[in-house]
Amino acid sequence: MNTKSMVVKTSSLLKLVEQRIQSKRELEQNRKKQRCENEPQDSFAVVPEIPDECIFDIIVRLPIESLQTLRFVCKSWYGIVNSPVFINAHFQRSDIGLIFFTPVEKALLSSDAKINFFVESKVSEVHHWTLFDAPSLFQIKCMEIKDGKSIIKDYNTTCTGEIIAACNGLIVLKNRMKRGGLIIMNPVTRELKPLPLGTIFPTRSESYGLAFCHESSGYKLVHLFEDDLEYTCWEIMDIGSGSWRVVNGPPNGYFGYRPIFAIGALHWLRDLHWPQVDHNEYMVSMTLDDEQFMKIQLPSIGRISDRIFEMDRFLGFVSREDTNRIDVWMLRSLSGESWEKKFSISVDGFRNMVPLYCGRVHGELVFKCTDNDIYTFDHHSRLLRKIEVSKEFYTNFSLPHVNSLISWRR
Amino acid sequence: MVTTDEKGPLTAKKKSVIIRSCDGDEFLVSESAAVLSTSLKKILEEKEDRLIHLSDIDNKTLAMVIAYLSTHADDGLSDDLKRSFDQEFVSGKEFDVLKYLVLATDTLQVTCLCYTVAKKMADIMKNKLVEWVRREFDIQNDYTPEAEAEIRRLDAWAWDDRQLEDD
Repeated sequence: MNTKSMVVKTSSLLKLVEQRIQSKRELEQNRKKQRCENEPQDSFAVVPEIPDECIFDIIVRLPIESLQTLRFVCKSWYGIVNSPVFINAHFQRSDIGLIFFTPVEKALLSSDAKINFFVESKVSEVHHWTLFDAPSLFQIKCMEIKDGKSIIKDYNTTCTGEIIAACNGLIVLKNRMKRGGLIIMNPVTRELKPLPLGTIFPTRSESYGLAFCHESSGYKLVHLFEDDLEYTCWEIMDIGSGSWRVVNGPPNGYFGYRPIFAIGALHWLRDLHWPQVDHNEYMVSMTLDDEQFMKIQLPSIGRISDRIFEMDRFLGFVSREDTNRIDVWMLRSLSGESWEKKFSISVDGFRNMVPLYCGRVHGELVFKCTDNDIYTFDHHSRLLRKIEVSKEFYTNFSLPHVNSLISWRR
Repeated sequence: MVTTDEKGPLTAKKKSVIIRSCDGDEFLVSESAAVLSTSLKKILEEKEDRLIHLSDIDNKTLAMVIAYLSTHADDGLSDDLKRSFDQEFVSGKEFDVLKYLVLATDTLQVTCLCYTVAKKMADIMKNKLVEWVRREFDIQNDYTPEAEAEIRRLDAWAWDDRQLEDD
């Protein structure tokens, strides 16, 4: 009762305030008009000047698509948007989605040629991709879920190879042009740089992981591969240096799934579709600062649809406990802490629920089920919700991704 | 003129301060509400003065900030109610009003309100043309048309220019 009456009082106070404001505004506008008529050159003086800190606080809350246009308001705004502090603050607020690639439809080849950005033409001699007889071309797009709906965003970008790694808004692509190689790129700002392929090519099986190293303030690409003699090898490239160096990693390969970057390390889980392995007891982790490898025990046996992922800035693990229950675990650091169970989801009737990512803003878990169906689970409301997704999206070619302005140079 | 924060006899017994706007209006505010502003808290810690004069905040903006502070200082209100108050507080406000509010909250260091207002401003701005924003913020375009065209060409991002509004 008490609370209610206070709210009523507050809102009536607000109304009073609003009325006062309205009358004051009218007065001021009249005054403003008079002033403008009298001294036209002084008319700007009545508009308050907003300091740069406030401008920062406002525009850091704009979606990245709006920054695309509004950074050109003036030189000072352009400077703010390009500053590392802004880029990082904006990244911290941005939600995660899935970046994916789809084959280019032949019909698009001629009509959309002008707006398209062909990645490989920026790193080699090809100037126009329609002249280039490529076996396959891909469009890079991303899928984001907002208010229970999926949105597909098109980067208007074409490339020849698949996306093999993603981290903090940067992606690594395979360049399938004659000379080959890898390309690191920010698909939003279109900044890109060619990188050499791993030391052995082609490999029997391989995976790449991109991650940020705080100690060197730079990005590292880690390549895990199996050579012709079936030896497992590990190599690392500092993106800044652009050359590979061999490191001593664990001998038995943790192939299949792409590694996950969280809590300062990359983490590999074996793909259980491979023969002779039907469960995971451990994951392999490599710290980015000192490049140490370690085997980390999982909180429960990892089955075929169980995955690790970044969750609330930490490492998450989803495990299927029985036919109708999924447990969600979290690991906060690699220095001796143990997994804590966050919550369980009852999933009666759903079989292969594979976790794809965990939202950074609302913390919802995004799963895929068989037939490419996408579901979100909100652990506050405990609601499992089906998301309608366009047919062009296919989860098998997707990676968790945040649209950011981050560059590997900073 | 003295305006109370209308909380009745309960809070009147508590310590209160008088805050004066740049145009001379005075507001009686409970100390528990005033200290939610980091700037006011510092002033109150430094001197015993019960009258604070704010030389760069007008009465209409100050009234709004005080309504916000009083609501947030009220222990009887749940966090959920305060959150919905915040939403109500900025909804429907004109961009002009929000500009003065964001400045006042920056001066008074009321971080929470500053962020709420900044978010509302960003929501209004997100589909606007560069020209609209320049007009609203009274910003002179310091690029020459040639320099602007050149930088737009050199620093082109991925998306198409979308449907933007100019009002």
